[in-house]
Amino acid sequence: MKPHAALAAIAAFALLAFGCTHSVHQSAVAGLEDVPRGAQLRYIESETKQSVFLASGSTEFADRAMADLTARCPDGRIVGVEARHSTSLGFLVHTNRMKMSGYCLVENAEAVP
Amino acid sequence: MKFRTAASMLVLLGTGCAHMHHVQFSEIDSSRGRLEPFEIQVNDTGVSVHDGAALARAAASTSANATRAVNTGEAIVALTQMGPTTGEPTFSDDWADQMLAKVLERCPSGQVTGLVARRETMKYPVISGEIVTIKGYCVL
Amino acid sequence: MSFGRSGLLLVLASIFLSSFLGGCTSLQSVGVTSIPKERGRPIEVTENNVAFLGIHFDNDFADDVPEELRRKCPNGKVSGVFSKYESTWYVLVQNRSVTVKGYCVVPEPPVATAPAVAMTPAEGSP
Repeated sequence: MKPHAALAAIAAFALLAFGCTHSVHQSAVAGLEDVPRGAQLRYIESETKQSVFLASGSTEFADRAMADLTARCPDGRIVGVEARHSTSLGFLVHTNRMKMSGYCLVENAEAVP
Repeated sequence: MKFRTAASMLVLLGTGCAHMHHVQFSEIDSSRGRLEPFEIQVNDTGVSVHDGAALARAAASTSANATRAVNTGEAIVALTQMGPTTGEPTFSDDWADQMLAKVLERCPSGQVTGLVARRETMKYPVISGEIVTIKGYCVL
Repeated sequence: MSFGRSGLLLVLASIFLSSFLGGCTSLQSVGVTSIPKERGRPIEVTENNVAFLGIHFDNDFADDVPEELRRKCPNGKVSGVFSKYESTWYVLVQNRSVTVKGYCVVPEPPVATAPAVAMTPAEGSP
């Protein structure tokens, strides 16, 4: 009984302590080169995820994140784009995440002096 | 003696091992004014269960039951950490968020050029430093 | 073997087979740039590189991507570039794929204004 109890304790500890581990693969940044001085910037973000059991068949979650971010600024230019690609690890299933953020710049808005 | 040997080897092999996973460069515009460099670095602590298990196995090398228990424990933990990894797993995934907000804090005018983003790992025994570094220039 | 165990094995085997046939895809890296206001003309280029056992001998399969993008946007600026590098394993064969999406922004032609013509007085006018 004791070895089984020890294994059960290790399994429970593993699930509690390590069931919420993550791995950040990449943090890409770009697009701050031509921001007008004093421009009004509105922060926008989008996040998509894809749960994977053992193996995944597509990476469309990245395209969806980009499309969602683009849709949040229909009338302006999006500058300062940041993309974070990470994976939340788990028991047999892991979750790929793509979080994108940026600043919506509507160029006919009054500039802050 | 075996534990000391294994621990020493891990220390020697793992001390300050630097791995670069990804680097990205942007355009640099020197024509808009004087450039002042800045650097922002964020990090989190990664944990290597494999290294921990290796140390535990070295410590328990005289006991077959203990070695078996360590192997089983490592296998159970590995099952709860399935998925692609870069560096070692951390306990949060938002430690590298809001990097550009930090950049804009350093350059309040919003005039930034020459952004470089680097994702790296500093590997030590059992633990690691998972790091994202953003460098660039504020246009003054 | 009871039906329950054999059924479970069949389900697991189906999941594994479908994963291998569909490919095991992983996202290697992404790249982003600022996104323009004009998004009427999206363009996309994909280049693939297949190798048995994932043994590749060069990395220049994506070198033609910028030229392809320029060909699709001959008179404009390719902006809002989103690049994606992914790898797919089909059992023993690896496919590396680079997909680049963007928007072709063509600058509006300048509005032609009629040149100023010097007015000559008409005959007979005061």
